[in-house]
Amino acid sequence: MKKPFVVLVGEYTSLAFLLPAATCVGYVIGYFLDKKFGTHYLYLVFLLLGIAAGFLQLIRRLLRDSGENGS
Amino acid sequence: MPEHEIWLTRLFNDHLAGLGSWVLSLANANAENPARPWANFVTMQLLVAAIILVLFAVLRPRLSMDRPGTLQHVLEVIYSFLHSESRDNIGHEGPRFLPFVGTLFIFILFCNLIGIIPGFESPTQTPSVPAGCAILVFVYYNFMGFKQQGIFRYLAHFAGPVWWLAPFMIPIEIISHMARPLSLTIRLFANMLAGEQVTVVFLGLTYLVVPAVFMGLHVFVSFLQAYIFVLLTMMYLSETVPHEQHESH
Repeated sequence: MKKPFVVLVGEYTSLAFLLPAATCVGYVIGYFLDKKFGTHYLYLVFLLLGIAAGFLQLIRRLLRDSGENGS
Repeated sequence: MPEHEIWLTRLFNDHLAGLGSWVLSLANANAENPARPWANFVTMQLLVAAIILVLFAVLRPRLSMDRPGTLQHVLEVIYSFLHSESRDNIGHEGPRFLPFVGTLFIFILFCNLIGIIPGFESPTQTPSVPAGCAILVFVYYNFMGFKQQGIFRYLAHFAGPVWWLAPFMIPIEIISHMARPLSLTIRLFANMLAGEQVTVVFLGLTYLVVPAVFMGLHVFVSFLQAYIFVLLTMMYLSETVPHEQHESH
């Protein structure tokens, strides 16, 4: 069944925050771990993990949506 | 910066300041100004909750199969829309979550829309309100995951499909789960604040037609954001339903 235009707008605008939110959370976790352990590299590691997490979520959503359309 | 008090908040602060301070003291918190503890977003949320309660209390005895009124029609449209969305996104188990998802949708929608009435302000344009809803969603879908799949099976999802990928997948999954309440909060809060501010800016420039256009846009965004919030909630919930049930819909 084809989804109404408004529903599609809703679904695709929801993707817009996926990448920045995951990246930001990754950085914040790394920043606090750095502060806790007195290190200076964990923020980079978690920033990269955050970026990866964002992409992973995005890819999962795409796989799911393309699966729904039967393609 | 002390925020501008709307008339309802002033009423609460003038007459119920003691109650407000007492409630805050229960949570070990102190108001910025102890003499005026009520904030706009708190009183507006109470008003929205009261409106919803009154609306349903009025509607309940009037429900009719033969002669449904306008209000019944409107709410039936909302109900059937959420019902079909929950089936599409969660599977045949979906309608089981409808009481939670529906309450969230109605609450956020009313919170968004109430800002259009002059003299009121959307509680959702204060970050605490979307954050509260988002944290509730986070706790709820994780709780349902543990409840439906058991602690170990649900936690096993975090390790990914292949065991040797687990050291990478676990932190990635934790980050993506923690990003969910953040993105839900910022999306709703930023959209509502931006919608309101655009209207205010154009009202400062002209009273002719243009602000009305932006108010129309604000109504559209209010519906859209309430929908996106519950859509994402349903997607998160769909992950907690055991796979054999989810795939069989």
